[in-house]
Amino acid sequence: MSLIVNNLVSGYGRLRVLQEVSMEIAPGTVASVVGANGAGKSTLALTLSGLLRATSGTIELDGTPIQRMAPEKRAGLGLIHVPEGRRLFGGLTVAENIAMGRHAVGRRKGDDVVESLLDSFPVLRERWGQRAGLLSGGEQQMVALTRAAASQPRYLLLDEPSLGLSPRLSFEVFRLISMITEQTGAGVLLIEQRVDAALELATEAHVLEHGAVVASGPSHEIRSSDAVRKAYLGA
Amino acid sequence: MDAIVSGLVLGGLYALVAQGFVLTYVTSRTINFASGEFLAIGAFVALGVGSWSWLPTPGKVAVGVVAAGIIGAIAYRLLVVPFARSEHDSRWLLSTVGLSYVLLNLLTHAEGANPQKLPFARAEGTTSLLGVAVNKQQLWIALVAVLVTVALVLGSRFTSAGVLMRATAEDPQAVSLMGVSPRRVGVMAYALASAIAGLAGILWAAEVGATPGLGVHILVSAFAVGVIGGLTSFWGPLVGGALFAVVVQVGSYQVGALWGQVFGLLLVIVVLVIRPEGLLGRRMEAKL
Amino acid sequence: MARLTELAATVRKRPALRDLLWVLALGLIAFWASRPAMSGEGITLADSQILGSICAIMVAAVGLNFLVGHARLVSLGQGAFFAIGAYASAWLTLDGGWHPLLAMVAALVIAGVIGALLAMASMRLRGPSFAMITLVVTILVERILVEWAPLGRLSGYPNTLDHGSGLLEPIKVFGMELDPPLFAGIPADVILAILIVLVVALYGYRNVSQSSWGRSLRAIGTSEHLAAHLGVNVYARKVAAMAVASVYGAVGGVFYVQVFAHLQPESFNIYLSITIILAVMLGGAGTVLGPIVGSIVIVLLQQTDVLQPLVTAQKNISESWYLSTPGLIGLLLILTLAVLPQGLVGGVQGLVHRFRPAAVNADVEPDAGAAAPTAEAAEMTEQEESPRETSGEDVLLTVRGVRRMFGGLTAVDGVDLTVRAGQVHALIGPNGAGKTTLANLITGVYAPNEGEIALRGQRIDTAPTYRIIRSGIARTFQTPLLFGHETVEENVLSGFAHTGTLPFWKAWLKLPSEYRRDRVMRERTAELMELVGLKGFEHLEAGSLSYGKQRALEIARALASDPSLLILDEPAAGLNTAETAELGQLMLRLRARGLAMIIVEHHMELVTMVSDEVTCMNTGSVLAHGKPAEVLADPHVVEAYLGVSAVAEPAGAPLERTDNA
Repeated sequence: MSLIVNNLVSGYGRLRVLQEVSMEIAPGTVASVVGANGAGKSTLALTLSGLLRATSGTIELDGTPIQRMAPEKRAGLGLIHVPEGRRLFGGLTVAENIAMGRHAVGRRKGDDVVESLLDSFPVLRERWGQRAGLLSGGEQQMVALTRAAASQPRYLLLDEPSLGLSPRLSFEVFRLISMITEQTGAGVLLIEQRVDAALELATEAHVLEHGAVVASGPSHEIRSSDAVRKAYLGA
Repeated sequence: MDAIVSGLVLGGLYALVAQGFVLTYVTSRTINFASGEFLAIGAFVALGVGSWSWLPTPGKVAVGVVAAGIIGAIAYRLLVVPFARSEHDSRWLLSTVGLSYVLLNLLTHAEGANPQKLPFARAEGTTSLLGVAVNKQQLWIALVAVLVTVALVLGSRFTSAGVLMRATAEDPQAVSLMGVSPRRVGVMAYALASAIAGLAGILWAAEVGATPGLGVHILVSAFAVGVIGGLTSFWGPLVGGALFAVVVQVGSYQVGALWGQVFGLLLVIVVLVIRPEGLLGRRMEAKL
Repeated sequence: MARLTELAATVRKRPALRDLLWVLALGLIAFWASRPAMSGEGITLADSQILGSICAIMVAAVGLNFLVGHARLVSLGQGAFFAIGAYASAWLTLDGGWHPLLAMVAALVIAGVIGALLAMASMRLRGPSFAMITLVVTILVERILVEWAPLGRLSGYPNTLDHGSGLLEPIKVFGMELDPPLFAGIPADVILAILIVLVVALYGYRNVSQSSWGRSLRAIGTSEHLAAHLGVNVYARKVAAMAVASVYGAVGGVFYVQVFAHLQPESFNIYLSITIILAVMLGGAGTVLGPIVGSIVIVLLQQTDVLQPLVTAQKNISESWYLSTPGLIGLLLILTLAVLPQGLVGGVQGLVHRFRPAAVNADVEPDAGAAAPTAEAAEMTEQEESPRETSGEDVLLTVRGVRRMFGGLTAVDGVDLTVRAGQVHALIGPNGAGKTTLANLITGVYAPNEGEIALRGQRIDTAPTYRIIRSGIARTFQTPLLFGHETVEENVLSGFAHTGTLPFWKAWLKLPSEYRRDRVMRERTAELMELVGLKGFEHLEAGSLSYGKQRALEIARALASDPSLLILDEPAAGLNTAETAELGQLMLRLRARGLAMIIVEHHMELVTMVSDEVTCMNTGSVLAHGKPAEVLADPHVVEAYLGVSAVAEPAGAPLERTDNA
């Protein structure tokens, strides 16, 4: 029972971005994917959630092959993607955004998780009736994560959740992520700019370079290896 | 004054049809160029069940409306979805034009070109509004247009389907990440839009008789109304319809029937120059 | 056989000869087609009228192809301009008392002006609104024809009541009376005149389609963003295209008047517009021959009884539910879109292309020999061109205090940047740092909210993109924007400044100077393709190239405008290690020739290899600036890339520069 990616290849038109990527994410664990811009991190998330078609390779969700399914089917199975830039519905209120998250699982389920998140992050409840587009970046990210939690995820794909946030807000966001992981028991694929923070949160880590996994292992090992520095700064 | 009141009343019909454009445009960025024929479909289906004496009038109207809705949903699935694969793919435009020809031709052969009287859903005679005699049926259509608009505005704000629709308008991809297929939303929008067109067709046919070409000229005015009001706001058609029809009517009274239409078109062009997104429309920022 | 191939090769090499042959062939076909009409026998009348209709629809369809095929603007209004041409020329002749030829010219001018005005009003529209407006215009024109008394309403124009006759007088040209195909025993010599005009119109149409002007329309159809970066004034060009299309539509109307000598308003309803657009789609939008073939097919389907068996077959099943010609045409439109989206001609060309690459590869083996630019080739081109005179200190581009906000978000926040002539300036930084926005500010995609940008001391921050491009900046895009269905050579040709500056009349006439210019451009294209390693790929479809080659093609296109500053937006994204190294070599060669570059890039090996200066941006502002090694070692830069606490660990330890890839 886990999300298993096997020899995944994908890209845009003639451009091949992912070169036979394989990895496994177990429920309740956080796997971090790090690598320079353009290494293929977002492409990996997009291919897993189905917004991008895989050229070849397989994706298995708890035993079901999903690489040919439409994104909405995958979401229905509990693979929830919080894309880069959050993709909130700016014209909808916070409440409506979170309600949108419930579509994946049918009505009313997942509410207790959402409730407890709202209790821990009262700022969301203060903003409940406001249009999401008017919120600050940090608040938007929290709404996006809460919306994902409302979908009762079995696996979560988080693409750059701290992008554009101050260190303090990033810290809040990471706290929210750990809460969601704990309460839903979901397996998380975390794509992060802030490598250190990501590796601290993660149990496993994969380093992506030119679309291929060049190093994998327990995150504390990856952290102390040169692979990361080389991937980002080319030296 | 006469012209203004009758314009406001007539604008309701155009607004009703234009409402369908807004529905499909915001959810799928497409418009059904065969909408005019859906007016005729609604009218002829209602006419077809007109002899069922056990069915009360609202029931007959409902049958016509539902039939138009179902055919609209099928048309979306078969003739819009395969021809709107990307933002640059505008084949849907021509495929719906083609559909319009097929339907018009088919209906003309089956029903003949002469008007057929629709013996129900009609308010006879005239009534006085602000001291002006207006056709009751037209007034009735205008009221329905306002009701439909209010229902759409409330529905989009307070129902889950409405929220879904607004979400799809903003970001269809993100909607698919919420486990809902944007195409399903499109089917819903097309069904609703075609049903509204069918309703407009029945009400208008009760006044002028059912003909295959019932919607052709209304469609053109409805396009003008849609462009003036803006294709992204449910209030747009009402405002656009009122403005357009008043200009057309005043022009017709003052200068001549033909020139009213010309002025109406000039109004469209003026609006386009000043606000290409329409009076109440939101500008869609294209991301590069 | 061998002789034939030789001949074909000679023709291919000599464009003037090729064009001459094309016109000759067209003329011969036209002459052949006109012979029955010239005989004047009664039995030829119907066929001559169909021929006349074909000519009228054809000229309107080729005009519409500029809009629908090249610029991808779907217009449902071509029938309106056809009607304007018909009625205006007839009315000016009869009621106006003008000389018929003068009246015809005036009718074309009227249509062109109306088309241009309509375009000015509606060219800012996106999506279906343009089609909606053109449809509204079509219906409105029909309305006017039906209801306006001076045009005879439903009695037609002219009519016996108002004019004493239902037919227009045949026109006289140089003492010759040009009779319509209406009376048995009188040769319909107007058909010959129409065919001559048609051949001329088609000649001009083909010239434009194959010229830089046609390329500019295809660029607009591919992406307006791209077109502006090729130096095209997009708005003006779209208005011009609409005016040209309208004039061609009106020519169709003029033909119609001369063939039938009488106009009925119901001939000019929306169905006419649909017929014309279907001629374009069915034949193949965007191809030269497509609308020509399409209009022949569509008129024959409509006006002969070839579709009759289909109607009869349906009637055998149901007497009341069947489709007759208009409905079948609608169905044909849908089927064409589904089965032959490229049209008849486009489909055939696609097949030819599919077989062609094999032949080219066998001949040249582009992958083995010519793919990697040899040092020899590079040297050769370098010798040919003396490097620009630049001392590294001349300031080419200055960006001072530039700020740009989107809504509440500040994407670029007070950035300074200086690019010296002949130097490579790299722009690095994490995602969302504002690098691409800065590139867009330099090329005028957005105007800065604050600050100045100057090229050689001239302010460019308020200029539109096409002017900035013409002043000597070229760029490539994060994801290559190419004409996927056209040849590699055609893509490079679109990069020349000519695409934005060639006047329409020159493209239409194709004077000898244009042939010379074309030859020069093709020679230069060959050099550029050699330079970037695309030699031997000239005739392949751009969309079939590997991603690395597509990137190279974009660079070749950008170089075609002979820029002094080249902006490369993530040129190495998606390239493999070998291709990245090749790209680095290419950039070094370009720098050696004196070309200044700004490169937005994440591959640090490439940055260290090619750049003289590096600016690192983060959250919209400049974080560090200096020599590559200094910037990459800067603890703030390391922090921006690796996250908060990276500074604390091996703080400031200078990073080694390695040239490994």
